[in-house]
Amino acid sequence: MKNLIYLSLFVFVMSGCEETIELDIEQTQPIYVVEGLVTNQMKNHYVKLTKNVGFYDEVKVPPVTNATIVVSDNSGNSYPFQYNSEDSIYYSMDEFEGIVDRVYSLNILIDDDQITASDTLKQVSPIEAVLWEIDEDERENPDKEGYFYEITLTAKEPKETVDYYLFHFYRNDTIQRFDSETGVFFADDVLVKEEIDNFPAPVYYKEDDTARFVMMSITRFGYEFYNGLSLLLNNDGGMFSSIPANPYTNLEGTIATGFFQLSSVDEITIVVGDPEFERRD
Amino acid sequence: MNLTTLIRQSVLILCCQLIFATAHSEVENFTISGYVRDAATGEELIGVTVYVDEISNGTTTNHYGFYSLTLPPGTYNISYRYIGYQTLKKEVLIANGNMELNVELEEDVSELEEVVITGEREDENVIGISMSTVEVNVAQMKKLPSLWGEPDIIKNIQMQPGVISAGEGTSAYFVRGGAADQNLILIDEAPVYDPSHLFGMFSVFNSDVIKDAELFKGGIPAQYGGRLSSILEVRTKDGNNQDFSMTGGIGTLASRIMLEGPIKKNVSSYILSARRSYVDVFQRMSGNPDVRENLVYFYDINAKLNWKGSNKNRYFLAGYFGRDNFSFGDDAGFDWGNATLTFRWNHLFNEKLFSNTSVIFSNFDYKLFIDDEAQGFDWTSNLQQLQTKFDFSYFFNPRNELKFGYQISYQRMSPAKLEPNNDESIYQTLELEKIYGFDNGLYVDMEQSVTDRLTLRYGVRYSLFLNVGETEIREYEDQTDNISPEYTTRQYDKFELIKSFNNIEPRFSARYIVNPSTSLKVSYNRMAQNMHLISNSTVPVPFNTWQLSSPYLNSQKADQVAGGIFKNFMGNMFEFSAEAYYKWMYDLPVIADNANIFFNYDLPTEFRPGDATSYGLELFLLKTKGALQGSASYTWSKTEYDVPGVNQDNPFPANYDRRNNVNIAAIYDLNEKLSFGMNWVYGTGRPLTIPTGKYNFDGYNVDLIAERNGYRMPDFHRLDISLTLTPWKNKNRKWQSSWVFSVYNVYNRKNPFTIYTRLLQDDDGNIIDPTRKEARMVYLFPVMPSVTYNFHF
Repeated sequence: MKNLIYLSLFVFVMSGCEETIELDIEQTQPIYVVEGLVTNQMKNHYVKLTKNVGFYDEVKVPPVTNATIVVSDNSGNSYPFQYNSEDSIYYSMDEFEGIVDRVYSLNILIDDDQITASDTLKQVSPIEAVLWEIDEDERENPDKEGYFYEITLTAKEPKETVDYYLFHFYRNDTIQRFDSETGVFFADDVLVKEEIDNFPAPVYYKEDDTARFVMMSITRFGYEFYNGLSLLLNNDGGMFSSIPANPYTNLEGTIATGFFQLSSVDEITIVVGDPEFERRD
Repeated sequence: MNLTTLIRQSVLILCCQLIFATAHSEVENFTISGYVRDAATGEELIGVTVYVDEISNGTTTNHYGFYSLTLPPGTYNISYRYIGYQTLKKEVLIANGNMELNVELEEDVSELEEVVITGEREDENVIGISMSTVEVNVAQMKKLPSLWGEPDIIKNIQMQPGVISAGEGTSAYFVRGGAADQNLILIDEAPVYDPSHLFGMFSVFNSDVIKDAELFKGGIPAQYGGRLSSILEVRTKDGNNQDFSMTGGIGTLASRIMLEGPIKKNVSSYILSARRSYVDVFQRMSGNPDVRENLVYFYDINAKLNWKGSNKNRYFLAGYFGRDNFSFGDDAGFDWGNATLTFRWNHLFNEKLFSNTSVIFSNFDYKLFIDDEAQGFDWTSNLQQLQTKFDFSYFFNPRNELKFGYQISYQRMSPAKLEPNNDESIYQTLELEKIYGFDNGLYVDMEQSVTDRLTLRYGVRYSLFLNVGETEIREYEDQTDNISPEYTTRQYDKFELIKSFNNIEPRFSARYIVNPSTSLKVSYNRMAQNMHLISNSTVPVPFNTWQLSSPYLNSQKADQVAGGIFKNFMGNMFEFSAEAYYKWMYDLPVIADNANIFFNYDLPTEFRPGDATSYGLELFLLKTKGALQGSASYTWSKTEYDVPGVNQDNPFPANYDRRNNVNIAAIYDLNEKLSFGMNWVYGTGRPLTIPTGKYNFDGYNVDLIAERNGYRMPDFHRLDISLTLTPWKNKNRKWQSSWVFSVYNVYNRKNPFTIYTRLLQDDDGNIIDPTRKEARMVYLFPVMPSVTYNFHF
């Protein structure tokens, strides 16, 4: 859709010759990066708190370990998080499940710095089916040997509500974001009708792969964030695409980038080639 | 002041001026008038100097080749001068009546020998009142090197002082700090909304059919309006009304054919021209299925009919149709194109009052489609404009000429329509609200020779834009809230006024002759614009849509002052000019960061109106005589935007703010058979927004952006050369042909087109390390030879 426009322009730009060049970049003071996700699943939810590094730095992003993090909802519940040094992520001390339509707030204190954010947990309609079928054109001329199984999704998009979605596609537990690792799969419901029948996943699978399909609700703000993220990751330098810009963030207080996200989650896992999940029209 | 009073007052002033002027003109004067044309083809010649020795003054032919001189009785020596043609002198006795005098000029066959006209100068550069204008010499342009051997007016415009391009391979251009949508591009008076083929590799103008092209960058006369920064007026040939002839060319990428001839000799003629690219023909032959299936082509058709029965009434009908088509197998594709139709009627009320009435239709549309079960859709967008213009010129006497007129256009835009193209598609049928408007322009412009040294042109254009229904308008609580817009809707009926926009646009130019070879010129213009291209990239693409001024989009406005010195050297062998300008632009339709501009019901929430200023210096040297001809220009300019809500409210350089630009073009005619051409261009690198860091979010390695346009790409420079071989140059021979060999980017400079970032990859495109990133510079054209064969009979 809109992506076709960006994709065709991108392909056009990239049809020229290219080479790696060295940018002369001034180092700036690192800022906080927040990635928080609370879902309607009963579990220990997480917040990642890191800082950015220089563009050419050959280091992993450094975690911020001394923060006090609390998530609270608008019904008076509050959930403290604690740092886990094994994976450098903050987890809620207790398992809890987010409740639909509640507003959740994040509060982060790091020394004198404070970052806050809030987001609403939206309903997600359930996935009706995830099926596989062989794409005959792809089988004749596959990009990668054996990868010609197409996975499709069928669901109902309730038209009485305004909804926004984020999708994750896994192939054998590895998240799929194209070879460039820049694919962001998000949608609003403006252009689509109620019946979403056999919508294809963006990547092909091979026989016996495990295909996991995750559908998450996001808010309008979340949609704007992922839209900005996608524009930035797939930018051509501002020639035919927009001028690179940081995505919108719902983080307030000390300067930071990232997003605190609330989602309802529905997911289905199938084994590719399993007759039970074969698409038969 | 309300509208009716304003119009009434303007008409009153106009009438008073006419009466006043008529009363003061001496009753015994008589008028000599007529058309000047090419003897061989019958084409009217634009801008011919008509000079009367006895009064040391004269006039020039207008856009339709017409001139009018009012003189007291007597005997006069009148000369008709035009570059590339033999000067014609006539002794005329004006005794007791008005005279019609049509003249024909012969092309100058001995072009190589320097033409010296004693006692007089070809010094339009100095004596003309126009400043900040560029005339494209089409014949010269064809001898200069060009990309794939396809001479292109827009590419030529991009090499003029004060004009900046964002990079090679694009058709967008930026005039004195103005954005790409601030240029009005007219073909036979009809606006062209997207001048690009192949995303800008070529423009829509087929050079065979072009008679004349003129770019106004400043001091814009009041008859033009509707855009802030420039007017590019392209006029096509009328067609040979003496003999049938055929012109054509076979190029590396495209071929052209043009037929023209009389319908009734001397009176009426036709011209039909077509051009088509044929990359797709080769693509179809390819062994690689990807190449075979992904096809690209474009075509252009120009057609014109005219009837010049008498000097009193002349009729023209001209059309342009062009299209680009991209297809990716049977699965997806897109196309876009312009269509224009112009009907023109030149009428002489009397020898002094010339009128042109035009009815113009213009269309632009694009379509994208995907042919797929679940994702299948057709997406279309289009816009139309129907315009009527009434333009009058009143020639009081050689010292005073008044132009006035009224123009109205009806505009209709359909920004986007989405339709599923099969039953299984997940998409629904949707259409964004159409946009309608009426654009009115009323102008008067007076050119007056105050003294022998001082000439003034002063006028005003009143523009009234009406945004009308039928539509549904969302009225926002906070127009800048694009995250959670809140609004109420209001329905407007057909032609119901939504909002009107009044602009009074004064225009002024003055020329003072210091000495016979030197003049000083100054100008001021205010311009207003009510059509806005919604684009957030450096170079607009055909899929960007236009919007009209509306409750959330004000008229764009600009004020520009310019001043310059114009000097000719060595008997007008060299023309030199130095111009400086300062320009203020207001209410520019800047788009918010991360905006969704393609199918957005809340598009107004993405508008971040802002201002910009630009100033610069342009030096230009032109050599128009001798075996070696050419031009050299240097431009220094700076353009800065100031937009609340963008770049943390800090000013930032425009995307096309390239400070230093040098352009050199030269043609050397060795002999009648051989001529050499060269271009050299240099420009400061385009501003770029680059990351200062990177971070990790949900496994993505994301750039951290700091300052907008705070970095510069490497400088751009390139040399092109060409050789034109005319094997049998013989005027009497019917079949004439020439070969143009050109080499683009002779020293194979890797000129940056853009720079983007990605994860660190090896040569096969495999990611080496997902925590590391690299910057990639894209460059388009390496050294590229091409050959074009042109013929004419």
